[in-house]
Amino acid sequence: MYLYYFKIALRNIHKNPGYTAINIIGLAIGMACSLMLLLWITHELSYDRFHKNAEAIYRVVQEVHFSDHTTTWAVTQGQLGPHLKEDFPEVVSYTRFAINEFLLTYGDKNFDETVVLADGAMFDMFSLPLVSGDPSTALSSPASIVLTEGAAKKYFDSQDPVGKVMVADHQYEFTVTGVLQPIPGNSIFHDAEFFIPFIYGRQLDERKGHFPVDRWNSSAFHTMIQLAPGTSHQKFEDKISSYLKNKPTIEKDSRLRLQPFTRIHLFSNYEFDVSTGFVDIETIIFFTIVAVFILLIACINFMNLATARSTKRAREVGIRKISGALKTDITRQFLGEAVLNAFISLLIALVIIEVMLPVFNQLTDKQLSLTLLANYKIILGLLAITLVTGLISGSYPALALASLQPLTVFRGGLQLGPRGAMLRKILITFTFVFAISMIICTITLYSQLKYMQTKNLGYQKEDMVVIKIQGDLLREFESVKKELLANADILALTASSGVPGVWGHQFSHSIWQWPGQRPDEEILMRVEFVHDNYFEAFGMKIIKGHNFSINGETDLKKTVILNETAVKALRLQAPIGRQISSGHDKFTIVGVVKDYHIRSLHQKIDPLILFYRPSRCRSMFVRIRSQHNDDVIKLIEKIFKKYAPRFPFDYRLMNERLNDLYTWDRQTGQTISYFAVLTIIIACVGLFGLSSYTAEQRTKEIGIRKAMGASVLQIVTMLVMEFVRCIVIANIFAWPIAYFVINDWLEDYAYKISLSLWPFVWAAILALAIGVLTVIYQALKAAELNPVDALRYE
Amino acid sequence: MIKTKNLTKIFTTAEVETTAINNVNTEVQDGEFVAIMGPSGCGKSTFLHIAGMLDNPTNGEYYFMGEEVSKYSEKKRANLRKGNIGFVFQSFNLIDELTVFENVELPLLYLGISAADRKNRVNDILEQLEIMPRKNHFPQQISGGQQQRVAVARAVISRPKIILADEPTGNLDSTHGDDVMKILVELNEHGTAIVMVTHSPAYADYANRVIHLFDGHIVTENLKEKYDPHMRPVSDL
Repeated sequence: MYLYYFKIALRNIHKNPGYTAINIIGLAIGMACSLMLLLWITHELSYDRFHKNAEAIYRVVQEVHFSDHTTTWAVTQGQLGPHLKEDFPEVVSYTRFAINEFLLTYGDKNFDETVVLADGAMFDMFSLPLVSGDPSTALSSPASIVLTEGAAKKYFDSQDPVGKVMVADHQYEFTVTGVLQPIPGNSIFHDAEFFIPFIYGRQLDERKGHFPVDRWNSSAFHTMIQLAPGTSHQKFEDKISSYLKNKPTIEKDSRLRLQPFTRIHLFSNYEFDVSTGFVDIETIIFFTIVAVFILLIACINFMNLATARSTKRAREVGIRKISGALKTDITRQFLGEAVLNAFISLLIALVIIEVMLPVFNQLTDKQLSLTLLANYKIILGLLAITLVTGLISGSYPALALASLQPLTVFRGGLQLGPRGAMLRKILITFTFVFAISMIICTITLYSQLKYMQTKNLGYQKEDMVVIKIQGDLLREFESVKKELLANADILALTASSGVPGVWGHQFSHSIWQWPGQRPDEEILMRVEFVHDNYFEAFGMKIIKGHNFSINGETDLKKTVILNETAVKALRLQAPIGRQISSGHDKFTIVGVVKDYHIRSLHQKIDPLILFYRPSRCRSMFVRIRSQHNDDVIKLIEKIFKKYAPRFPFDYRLMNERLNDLYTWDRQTGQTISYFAVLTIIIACVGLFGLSSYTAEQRTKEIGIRKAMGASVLQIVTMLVMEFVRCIVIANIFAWPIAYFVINDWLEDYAYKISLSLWPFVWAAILALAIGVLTVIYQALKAAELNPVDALRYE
Repeated sequence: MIKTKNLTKIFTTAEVETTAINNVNTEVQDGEFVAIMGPSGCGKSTFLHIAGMLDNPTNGEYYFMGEEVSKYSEKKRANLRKGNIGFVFQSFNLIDELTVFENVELPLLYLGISAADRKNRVNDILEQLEIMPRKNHFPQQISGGQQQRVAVARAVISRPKIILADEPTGNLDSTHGDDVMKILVELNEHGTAIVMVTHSPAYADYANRVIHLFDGHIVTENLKEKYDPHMRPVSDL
C-alpha cells in the first residue's frame, strides 16, 4: 500500500510541478537554514569533549568579594596549581596556562606568534597527541618548545623540527621537543600553535609582561586541575573554597570555585578570561530559537499551501471514500505525500548547504562541513527531524481531507470555508511576525554597530598608527621621536603599556589605600603605564591638575594621574595633591584625565590609574596627518627598521584595531541579516503560493466584478489588500517581540543607542513593500483576465 | 435489500430549511432494477445518497440488508458500503491521476485484496466491458462513453449487492448511453440490484419499477410487471 501511495505522490508532483516546486523549495530553504545553524550549534556545543579526561578536568576560578560587589576572575595565582596538588590527594594533576607574544625565528623565517606557556602535564591531561616527541617530557626542560604540524611546516618545510633551535625575540632560545597533531577546530586550544614551559615565564623580562609565577599576591594565570576518578567536584569545591584564606593574597575575601573544563567555551563570563571565540551560550540559545522558528515557518508555509491546494484533491478524496477508503487511509496517503516532499526537501537542503557553507563559514569564522553530520546519531536525528517536519506540515491538510464527507464533493466541491481561509491568513501572519522581528533586530544591530564605530571615545583614533615596540625602539625613543617628528606629516609620538580601547596592560586589585577609605573598602583599578606626551598625542583632556612633570622636580615615579571614574570611586572631592598608596608605596595624584573608553563599548569605563613608566611600554603610537598617506607609513617603517632591524614592522591603524573589537558584533549582525533575508524569502514563497492560489480561486468572482464594471486597479487592490492586512497585523505582534529581544541584547553594551521607533517603522515598510511586490504579479494576472475567460473557467 | 420507512431529509442553512425528501416509504428487493424519476429538485439524488449511505436521513428509518443504519456514524457507514454498494455518477468521477486499471482497482485496494487477485479481477472486468486496450490510459485520454464504462467497472469490481446510478447516461450521447444501459441490464440479469436516477423515460423503461418523486414525495410507483425475483425476463436487447 505504501508503494501505491508513493506512486500517487510522485504523479501529483509531476502534475503540479509549479506548486510542488514552490512548496518543496520553500521547505528546503527552511531546512537548509535550520540545519546550517544546527551544524554550527552542534560544533559549538561539542568543544573539548573529545579529551579523554574531559569530565574530570576543571578550571579553578576566583570568586572575589569586594565590599560593594562580587566578581569572578578566570585567573588565579601562579602558586595555586602546585599547592593544590600537594595538599589534596583528589588533585591528580594540574596545568597552568598563560599567553604571550613573541617574534619567533628559524633561519630566515620570522613571524609574530602567540605562544602558550604551559606545564608539562598538559599532554597527559588533555588529549593532544604528539606526532613526534615524548608527551611526558616534551615540556619538562625549561627551554623546550612544542609546535603543531602546521607551524612546523611554516618554519621547517618538510624537515623534522625536533632538536632544532628556534629563537624568540632574538634573545630567548628554545629547542623543539615535540610536534602536535592538528588540534581539532572544536577546542579552546584550536588557535594555539606553540607551547613553551610555564616556568620559563620567570626568565622573561618585564617588557614581556608581568609573570609572577612564584607569588600569591597576583592573579594572572589559568589553573586547570584533574580530579581523581570518583571525586565529587561539588564536594571538592566546598573543600577548597576557603583555601586562599591562609595564603598571602591581596584580596581579602577570595573563594575558589571549579568551572568544568567543557564549559569554558560558551559559559565563561568571567573577568580576565581569554577569548575562546566570541560565541557565548546566549548567542547559541538565540540562534537555536532562530533555527527552530525558521523550520517552523517553513513547515507552516508548506502546510498552508498544501491545505489551500487540498481543495483540488477534494474530488479525488470523495471518490476514494466512495470507493471504500476510510479516514485512516486518506490520512496515511496525504501524510505520506507530505513526508515524501519533506525528504525531497531534505535532499535539496543538503545541496543548498553544500553550496552555502563557505559563506556561512566566513560569517561564523569556522570551518564547518557536512562531514560533521557523518555520525549515525546525527543522521538518525536528521531523518527523524525530516519525518517530523513532514508529519507536522502534512497534518492539517491530511486531517482536513480525511474528514471530508464524500457528498460535500459532489454537492459542489470543497470549500474550506471562511475558517480555513482565516487559518491560512493566521499562518501567513505568523511567518511575517517572525520575519519582521528579524528585520527589526538586524536594523537595530547595525545601528548599534554604527554607533560604536562613530562614538567619540575620548581620544584620537583616526590617523593614529600603532606599532609593537621591538628592538631598540624604547631605548632610543628620543632619537626615534626626533627623526619622526622632523617630518611635517607626523604630528605626535607616544607609547604606553596597553592600547587604549583595546586592552589594558594590567589590572590592579584591592591593594589601594586612599583618604576617606572605609574599613574593608576595596577598589579594582585598571593600570596604564605611559610615556611622554601620552595625553597630548591622543588628545585626552587633563581636566584637573596637570600632566606628568617630566622636566619638573617631582619624582615622576611617585606621581599618578587618575581618570574621572577613579576619582568618583575613591570619593575624592579635591584629588590633586592627595595621596594614594599601595603597600609601602605612596603616590601623589597630580592630575585627573577626562574619562575615555579604556575597553570596548560593551564595558563601562573602569577606574584607571596612570603611571609614567616608559620602560614598561609595549606599544608605540604615531599620530600622522592622514592615515591614507602611504609615504608616511613607509617613513615610519624605515625608522623602525633602523632601530629594530631584526624585527618585522608590525603596525596597525588605531581605528582598524578598534574595529576588531567588534568583529563578532559585525559577524552576528551579518549572520542575523542573512537569516532575516532568508526568513523573508521563505515567508514570501508562502505568500506567493497562497496569493496565486487565492487569485485562481477567485477567478469567477473577479470575472463577475469586471463584468459589473470593476477596474483592474480595483481588482488588484482588492486582492493585494487581503494580504496587506496580514502584514499590518504581523507588525502588531512583531514589534513587542523584537523590542523585548533587542532590549535584552542591548544589555550587553554599557554604551548603546537609545531605541527609537525608526527600526520598527522601517521594518514595517520593508515587509509591506516586499509583501505587495510578491502578490502583485498574481493579482495583476488575475485582474487582467477577460471577464468571459474568468467566467468560462467556472 | 433496502427499505425506507418515513424517510425524511431536511437541509438546514442559516435561515432556510429545505425538505428534500418527505416521508418516503419504499423497498428495493434483491436483484430488482428500479428507476427513479422526477423534475429537478424533487429529491431523487438525495434519496440515492441516503440509499448509498453517503448521507443520513433527518427522520425516519433506513434498512440496508436488514440493518437499520439511519443513525450510523460515517465510519460505520463506510464499512458497510465497502463491497456492498457500487456507485455510478453522471460525471463519471474518475481520478485523473490514475490509469483506467488503477481507477477500477480502487475498491479492491481498500478491501485489502492482494495485488495478484486485484490484477486478475480487474483484467476480467476490463475484458468484459471491452476496455482492456485502454487499461493504461488516463481518463483524459479516453472518450466519455469509455469513461463511464470504467466507472461502471469500478462500481461492480467488488461484486456489490446493489449499484446506485445517478443519471449514468446524462453526459453521454445516445449510442454510448445505450451501451451503458446494456451493461447495467446485464448486471441486473446476473443478480445485482440497481437503483438508477434518470430523466429519460426511454432508459427508465429498462427498469422493473419506476418511482416518480415530486417535491420529496413518492407520487407514483409503476410496476412494469409484478416483480418476481425468481422469474427473470429474457432480455431482448
